[in-house]
Amino acid sequence: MAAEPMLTTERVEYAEQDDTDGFLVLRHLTKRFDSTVAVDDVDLSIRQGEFFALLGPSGCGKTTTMRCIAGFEQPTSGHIEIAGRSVAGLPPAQRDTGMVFQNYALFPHYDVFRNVAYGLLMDHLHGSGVAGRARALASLASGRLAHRQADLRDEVGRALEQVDLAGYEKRKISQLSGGQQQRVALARALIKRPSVLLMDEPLSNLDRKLRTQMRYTIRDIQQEVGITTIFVTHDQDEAMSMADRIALMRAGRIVQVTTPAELYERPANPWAADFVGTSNLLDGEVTGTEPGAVVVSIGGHELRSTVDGDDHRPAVGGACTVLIRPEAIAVVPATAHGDAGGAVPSAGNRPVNGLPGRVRHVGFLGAVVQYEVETPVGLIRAEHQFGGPTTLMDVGDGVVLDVPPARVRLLTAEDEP
Amino acid sequence: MTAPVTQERAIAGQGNAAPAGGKRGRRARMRERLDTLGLLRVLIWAFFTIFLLVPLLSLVVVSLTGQPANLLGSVVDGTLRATNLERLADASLGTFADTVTRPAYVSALGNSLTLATWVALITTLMAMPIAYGIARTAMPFKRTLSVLCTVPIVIPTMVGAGGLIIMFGRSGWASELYRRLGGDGVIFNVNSMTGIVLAMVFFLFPFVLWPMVAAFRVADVSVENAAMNLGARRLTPFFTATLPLALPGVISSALLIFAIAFSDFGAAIVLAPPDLNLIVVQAYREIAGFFNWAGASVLVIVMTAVVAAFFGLQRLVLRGKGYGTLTGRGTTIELNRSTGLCRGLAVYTTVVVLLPTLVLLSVVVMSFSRRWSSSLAPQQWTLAHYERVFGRGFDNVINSLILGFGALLLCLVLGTFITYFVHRHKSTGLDFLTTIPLIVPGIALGIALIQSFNAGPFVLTGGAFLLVVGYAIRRLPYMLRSTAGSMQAIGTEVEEAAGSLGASRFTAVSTVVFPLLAPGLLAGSILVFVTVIKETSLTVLMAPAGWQPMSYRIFEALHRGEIFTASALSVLLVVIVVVLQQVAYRLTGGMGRR
Repeated sequence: MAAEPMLTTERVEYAEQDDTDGFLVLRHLTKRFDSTVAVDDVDLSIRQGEFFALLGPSGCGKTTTMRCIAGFEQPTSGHIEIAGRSVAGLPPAQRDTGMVFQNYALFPHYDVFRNVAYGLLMDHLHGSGVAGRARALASLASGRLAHRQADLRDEVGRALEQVDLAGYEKRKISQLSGGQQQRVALARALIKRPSVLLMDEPLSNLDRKLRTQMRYTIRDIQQEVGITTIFVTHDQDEAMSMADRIALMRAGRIVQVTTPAELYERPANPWAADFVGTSNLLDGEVTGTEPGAVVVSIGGHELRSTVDGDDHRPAVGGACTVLIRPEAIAVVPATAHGDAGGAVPSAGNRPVNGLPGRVRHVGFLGAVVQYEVETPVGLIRAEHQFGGPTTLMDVGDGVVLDVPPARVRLLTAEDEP
Repeated sequence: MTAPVTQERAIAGQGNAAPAGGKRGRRARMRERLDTLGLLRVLIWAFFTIFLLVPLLSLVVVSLTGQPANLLGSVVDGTLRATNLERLADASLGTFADTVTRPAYVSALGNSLTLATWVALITTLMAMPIAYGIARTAMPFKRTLSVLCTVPIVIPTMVGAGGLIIMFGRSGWASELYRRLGGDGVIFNVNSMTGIVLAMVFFLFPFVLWPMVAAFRVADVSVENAAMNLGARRLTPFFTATLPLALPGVISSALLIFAIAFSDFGAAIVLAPPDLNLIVVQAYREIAGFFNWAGASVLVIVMTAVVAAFFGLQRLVLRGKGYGTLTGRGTTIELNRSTGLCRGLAVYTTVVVLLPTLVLLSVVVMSFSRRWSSSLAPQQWTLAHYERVFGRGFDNVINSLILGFGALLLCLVLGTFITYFVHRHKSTGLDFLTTIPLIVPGIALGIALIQSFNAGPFVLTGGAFLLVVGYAIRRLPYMLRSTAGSMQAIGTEVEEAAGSLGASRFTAVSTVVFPLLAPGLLAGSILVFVTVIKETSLTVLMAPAGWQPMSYRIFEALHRGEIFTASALSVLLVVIVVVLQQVAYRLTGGMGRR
């Protein structure tokens, strides 16, 4: 399962996947605050070693879900199992989870060493043996005493090495940069070798450049340690670039659980399509079928979609939403097609979609050029790799949009199961 | 007439009457109270009930019956209960009305309202340009002037009033200067309404100034520039773009200073001439002179009502105006750099701070002089006053320190747990309870405490303990204000982080929350200590013979005309206050930087 699975096999896996192979399992998890339902009947099954993202807009219940797993919130109903053990009623410390908080929640009055060692010291403090307890107390009180203990030093050193902060033991928290603080928080969460790592928007407090860098750092550390990780974020880029699988949440419910590529290419509904990436969403109606393709009419204009193996293909005569990703659309000057604006060019017997239009806006971003094209079906966004100045089109140019039928997805209404 | 009786019964029955609540409810409540934190909470409530709520309630009872009441005694003693109930049967609003309409009282209330109105008006208008200068302009010497503007805070109004006498009294140096310049007699009579207003204006204005500075920082000069860009000229930008934005803050400061001036004891007691009736002085005399419980109760209830009304108004004005948060931003404020304006404001500010500075200097000089009468400088110098202060009078210094330290300890314990309960358990009840001391004037709290613990079973009046309790209750809000910031900065996540790493609730609090709260607690402690040793009203009312602190001795010396001793003690007091306040400032500053 370590290898990047093909889209199709992944889909099958998802369909087959049951609670049986889950390492961390949520069953019918519901959390109410007074009258509002923060988490609404959520079922999830996360595999061992998986990097799993909970993605959604703010207020969708992703953080509450995580806090239920961590034990900071008690679920109103439902079950949580970690490694085959129900954690109902267990305090946070006994759930075998490590948590990285959004603002890191480092202890500013301790140095890096004692921050990282805190978990170990707690074990000594609440464990047995008067000497051990006394030692833990002394270590909490004095940094110098803490540094002197060989066992602590080894463990902390190892944890700091993992996050690439070896030698930072004696630093004060306030002397660290945001990225370093973040890694200390990670080391502190990992020190007791928990079986699940929980991260609540860990990158949101960093500046943009560092954020992109830290994505890979965190991913690397996670892979090295091989720890099952749940990552809460509202940033689709973060979720897409880091996670093995993503659970997209909305209003306390799970919209879709799948791999990043699948989520982008086969969003469950128009809302999911809109939330992940940029998209052209058009309302249409299925008017007929052709061999290997479905014909949709959007405001009288026909588009073909070759949807391979889609299990919920809309019936003829049914309403649907058409999703076309901007980068799937080729913007071709109208002259290259001859003057017949609106003609549907065909290449052999392969179905092809052509949409006539006029360029409204051109956004030149360097590597990418964005076009907004006025077409009979509405304003369509297209995105191109920049291919040199001569390929740029101007506002007002007549163009034909070439949309490969394989990238025209038909989505049905939002409230489907 | 029956309402007070049932109220009394409810209190009397508190000890034995079992509530009719179901078994399940009681058990749940028991379980809730069994844990240590729950028990502490009950203890804190009990403390405030005994030392704040019941005494205040007693005041009301006394004012209605015209007779002393012993509510706490009634709880334990059947005969006392009977007498008290008998007296309560006679309670009527008529008694209250009769007392309150006595001519002397009516004129006292009128005079105090007039005084407070003048002080509020003059102070607000006087401080406004300074506030603008500090908040919005690149005024020269801004730092120095800002520091000088905080000087009056460290000086008790009683000492300020004494200083005014040194300067402007019949034999004061300013009066002498005036005569040499060709004037006749004195510039103005210090022992008059004018003198009191002046003392309050110049020694209370920082209380208005700093909130106003915050109000002016809501927007910066770009707003004025925009107004000018749109065609406004001269002062119109100020009146159309600046003042309206700052107005809620300005009005609320004016209301605050009104409440402070209305209940300030120090300046009034030192400067009020016998023919000028002020409500604070009147209330003090009713108790200290005539043991007239009813009259004193009525007066302090009226005072509390007036202060509460103004605090209420202030809340109303500030509601929804969130400039507190706006000023908290780290954004830089663009300053007005107009040279003429900046210089003008600097000169004006200098003139304003000149008087309190000169007053303080006069006190210092007086403390070193053997004779200084009707001349510009002392005729003879001496260190004798300090010898006396550090010799025989050192007991007062020690008493001040002990009493202050006692109040500090009490505030520390109460403050720590109340902060925790209010911020973590969202205890709105405690939050409200601890704001009561803000609206109860010192003299009212003093009279309430004396009255309640005057007779058995708990005779505490005349003991140092009750004084310490009074100090602690009165200054607890300072402690809470200081810790609230730290507590909010700590955030729940740190506690949760400790919890998820294996710390028990108690361990988490003691290894994470308490160390982080410590700077706030320390700063708050110093603030409590400082305000306690400055405290005048409670001290003068309650200080027992063997426990007289410095502030009492200063009051006594001023009263007896021992101006040298008063000066030397005042200087020592101010030095202690300044040093400790600097320490507190450093501590809070250091915390802010983290």
